Amino acid sequence: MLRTPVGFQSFINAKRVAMMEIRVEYYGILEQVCGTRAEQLELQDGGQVTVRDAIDRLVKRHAGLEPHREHMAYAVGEALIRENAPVHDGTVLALLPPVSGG
Amino acid sequence: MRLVTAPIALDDLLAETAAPEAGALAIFCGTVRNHNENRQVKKLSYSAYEPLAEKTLADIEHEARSKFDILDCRIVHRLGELKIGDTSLLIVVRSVHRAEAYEASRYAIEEVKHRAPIWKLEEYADGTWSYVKGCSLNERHHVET
Repeated sequence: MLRTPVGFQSFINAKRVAMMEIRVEYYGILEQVCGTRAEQLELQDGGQVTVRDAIDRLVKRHAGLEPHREHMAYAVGEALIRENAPVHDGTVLALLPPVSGG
Repeated sequence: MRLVTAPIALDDLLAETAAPEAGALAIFCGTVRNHNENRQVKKLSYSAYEPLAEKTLADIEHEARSKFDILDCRIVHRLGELKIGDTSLLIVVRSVHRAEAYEASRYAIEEVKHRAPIWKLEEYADGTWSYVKGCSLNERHHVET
């Protein structure tokens, strides 16, 4: 009987790590900072994935985002959410800098 | 519709809020001015995160009706590119007496400025532009979850 080499099996298991994809939308000055209005972000879907995990990834992709992080708010649909809120495959996450309407 | 790209129709708001028992009508009109922080402003552009902005304006209208003894409150904010002198925002409040109309109108504009996810981009006479500094939504503790 043929046996799968141990190293090869580890490689296969690693490939099986579930991934999820969210959509990130940038508003106000964040659109200029990140150079786009929206983009997809792939995250490892292990345990609870939060907004914080997504932002940690995004500041690596867009270094200019870090100085804005402290004052950013996050929203999904009509609701503001906190950094520890979960995100799921298909979540559309809006990044909102300080507001200046009126 | 509380977010519009066309000029805001005051007549429509007056008709929608008309009430025979009202003795006071307060209209607050935000307009585009030609200067800010010692810079000459040429034009403005407003953008919004529309799902939450629409809900926030509706919430503020509801709060104004709950907190003050008024008959009605309507808020409409314009989006897109605006010229100097254009109307960016209209708040219409009707009440039986004037004091409540003034108070509710003041409440509504302050809340809009602090809570509505809307951004103002200014273009200056020298061709440069910048977003106006604003209020962080995450410092206001309006987070729901």
